[in-house]
Parts: sequence; C-alpha cells; structure tokens
Amino acid sequence: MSNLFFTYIPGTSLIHRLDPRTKIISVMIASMIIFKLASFAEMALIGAVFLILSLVSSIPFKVSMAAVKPMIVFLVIIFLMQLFLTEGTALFSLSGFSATREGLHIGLLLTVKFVYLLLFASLLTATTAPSMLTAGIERMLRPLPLKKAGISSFDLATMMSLSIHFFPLLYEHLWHLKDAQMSRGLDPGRSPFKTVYSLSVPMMRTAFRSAEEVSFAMESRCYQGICRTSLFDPRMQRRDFAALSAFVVVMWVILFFA
Amino acid sequence: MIEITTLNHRYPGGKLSLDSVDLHIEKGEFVVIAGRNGSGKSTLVRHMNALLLPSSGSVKVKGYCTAKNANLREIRRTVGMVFQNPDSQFVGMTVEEDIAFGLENTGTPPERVRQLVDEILELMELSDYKKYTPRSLSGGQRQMIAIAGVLVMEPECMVFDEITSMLDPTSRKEILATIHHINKKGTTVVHVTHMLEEAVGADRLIVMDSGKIVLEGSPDDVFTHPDIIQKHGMELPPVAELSRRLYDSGIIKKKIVFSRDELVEELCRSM
Repeated sequence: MSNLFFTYIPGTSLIHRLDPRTKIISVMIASMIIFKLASFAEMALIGAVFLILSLVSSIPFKVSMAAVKPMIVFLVIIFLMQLFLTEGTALFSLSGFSATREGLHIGLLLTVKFVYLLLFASLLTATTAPSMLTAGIERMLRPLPLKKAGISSFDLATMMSLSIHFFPLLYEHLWHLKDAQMSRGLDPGRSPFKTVYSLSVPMMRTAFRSAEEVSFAMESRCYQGICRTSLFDPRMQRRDFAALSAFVVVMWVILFFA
Repeated sequence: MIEITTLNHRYPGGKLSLDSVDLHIEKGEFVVIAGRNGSGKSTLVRHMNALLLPSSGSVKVKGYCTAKNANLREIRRTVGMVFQNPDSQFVGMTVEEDIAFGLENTGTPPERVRQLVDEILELMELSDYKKYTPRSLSGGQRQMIAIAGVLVMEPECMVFDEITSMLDPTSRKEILATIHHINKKGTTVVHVTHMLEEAVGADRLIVMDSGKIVLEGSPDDVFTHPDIIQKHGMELPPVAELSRRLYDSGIIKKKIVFSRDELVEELCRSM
C-alpha cells in the first residue's frame, strides 16, 4: 500500500489551520454538488476549485493522486459498464456489446465525479491531523441523540481513532504471520485458498487479543466512554465562517450559473 | 495503600490462578513480584486497579474496595498500570495524544492537559518526538511513552507488569532507572518481573508460584534461599549465584552480594 494513501501532510497553510468541521462540511457540500452536476463545463470549474485549494494548502499533487491510484480498477469498471450498458447511438461493437455515444458521455462524467470525490477527500485528510478529524467528527455528532442508541459521541470518536491506529498494526501482524507460515512451507502462489485460511484464523485471534489488551490499557487509564475532554479543542473562528461562506457561494455559483 | 486479604481468583472455566493471597503494600514502598510464567503474578497485580475482581476475598486501595463499581474511578486514579507490550496499549495516534489519553478521560480541561503533557514530555526527554507515531520509535522509547502516559496522571501507586521483558539490555537498564527514580519521588511501585536481578534495590521481594506467595522479604533475605527459588522455577542473579558459591567454598565472608563491584571488594578483602 502506498504510504501517501489518504495520509496527513503536516503544514501551516490557511487550509491546515481551519477547524476540522469547516473542512468536513465543505467536503460534504462539494460531494453533493459534484453528484448534481451534469456537464463537462461544470466539472472543469470544480476541477479549478480543487486546483486552487490544492495550491493554497501546498499539498503536492502526487498526494492527491495516491488516493485515486488504488481505485483505478474500480473506476475503469464503472466507465466500461456505462459505456457498454447505456442505450443510444452505437459507436463500435465488441463481442456482442456495443459502446454508445451516450454511454461514453455518462461513463466519463461518472468516472470524473468519483475521481473528484477522492481528490476532495484526500485534501481533507492531507490537511487535517487524524486526531483533529476525529475531534471534529465527535463535535459534530455531539448534538445528535446517540444516547438512545446506547452509544456516545465520545465512544464513536474513540472507535474511529482506534481503527485508524490499529489498521497499520494489524497489517504488520499479517506480514509477520505470512512470513511465519511461509517458513513452515506455505506457498501463497500455489495455494491461495489455503493461504487465506491459514492466515485468517490466527489473524482473528491476534485481532481479538490486541483488542483485549488495549481495552485493559484503556480501562486502567480511567476510560469509561462518558464525557471526556480533549488535548485538541477545535474552535470555529471568524476565518472558519468566512472560508465556509466563500466555499458555499462558489459552489452555489457553479451549480446555478455554469 | 493496598490491602489484599485471602484473595482467590479463578478465570472462567479454569483452575484457581490465585490461591488465598494476603498482601499489604505500604505507601512509598518498592515491591518486586517475581515468578515464572503462569505463577499468577500478572493476575495478582490486575486486581490492584480493579481490572480483575476477586472470586473471593477482598482488595482495598486506600480503603476503597475494588468490588464496588462506584470506587472504580478513584481506584484507577490512585493505581496506574503499565503493561508488557507497549504497542497494544497505545490509544493515541501521536506520542502527545497517547500521553494525554488518561487526562482526557478524567475530564481535565484542555489547557491543563496541554501543560501537563508538555511537562512530562520534557521530564522524560521525549519532547522531540511528541508529533511522532509511537510505533515509529524504539522499544525502549515506546515503553517510556507508556510510562509517561500513566505518570502524567500522577497516581500514588504505579504497577509495572513485566515491562522490561521485551527490551534489549540497555533499554532495560534505562527503564529500571526510571522506575527507581519514580519511587524516589514518593510514588509506591509494584514491579512484576521474571528476572530476580531486577529486585536489587527494592524494599521487598515476593516470589510467587502456582497462585501462591512462596517467599517474601527483603531481597537480601529472599536470596539466601536459593534452593526454594530454584524449586519454583527461578534463578538467582549471576553475581548473587557466584557469591553464594564463593561463600559456600569459604572464599568470601559475606553470604550474598548483588553487585559486581561489591563482589570484587569482597574478593580483595579475603585475599
């Protein structure tokens, strides 16, 4: 896996300094607008907005591309499905399926939409430290009546940050486990099913054991899932409201006038 | 500080892992609990901050009974615990966030959290690494972070559950020096280990086997029973073992010696 995949790039740009909630809400708005748009001209404008934000935040373009790369197969499948399964004027034919002009249009548009979603999301994760991101989400969830579902916004935020934290740890375990099994004769190339079986069972055990250990450590440090404070105390400032308003206006202009 | 009375513990479906254990730990004491794997030492210390509850008997921390749910917070603020594997106890994504975790749980205001975290980072010489992910640091540094995460909550007692067992000799020495330093500042220390040499300098050494305390006393006293120690799967530290043999052969006059320098002195004196 690429190290740049949805990674955080520390920095001091205006976008880095914005409250995580400002950025989360902006990405949500951008996602809705992107799916509403229907022409390439509008898409180009969204692309321009992304480029400007990318420049302001001084996030290298390769960081954004790293979010798109692993999804390429998925994007190609979406494109091909639209190309061949949309009815309309035939362009060419391939083993019984005919590609259509309409399919090409819709396919390209949909693919670009998905790419934009990934790009905006990568901009959010690249400019926001994971802890700030979880703190922001926790604050946004706090007013919701989650208690009725038997969970608190603190629980959700802790679960999220633990997941982010444990993912690389489990990935590392998987590699150790694979080495250990290969040293005892496992050949992943020749017997893929056996490999999955012989890795998944001990992996489950490792995951459960790690979860038990971390829960002991959390409890012994007074974790009770009730009201906690935070080292990071995100506060919406004037620049956040200004940035959010500007973003909403730009998106509204693109939606209605482009 | 901690009073344990006829404590029995049985894991679900398992055999008795603690068998009528009585133990009193005084404020400011440095207690080492040693024993081979499966002797019940980790189970015992997990009762000290209510991670496990007695099957029968009682555990009281500063008079608070661990079996009462309402006492949990006070007990866990009083007794902090550091575990064997630092990786599986990190919760925060960066060093400073992990250290802040306990303070956040006790509702400390953000400004105060920041101040205390910065102070402890300075004290443990970890300030340069505060933005690093704990996993990117060395084993010794990771264990230091785990200690800092508990120490920052200013507990009156700290329990170290085999925290040196995964470390190289240099890091082990550093961690042991830190534990002794913490004790000198007035914190009660309970250190669990399977290496008896780590008991040198402790106030009390307790040897456990099969869920029972089999030997208890000052390290000097305990080390004078090498046969009992060996019977329960432990070994005397190399210097102590050598000095015992020299004493048995009539070469030196002191029965038990812990440090290399002291042994050299004894040998020079006897020549």
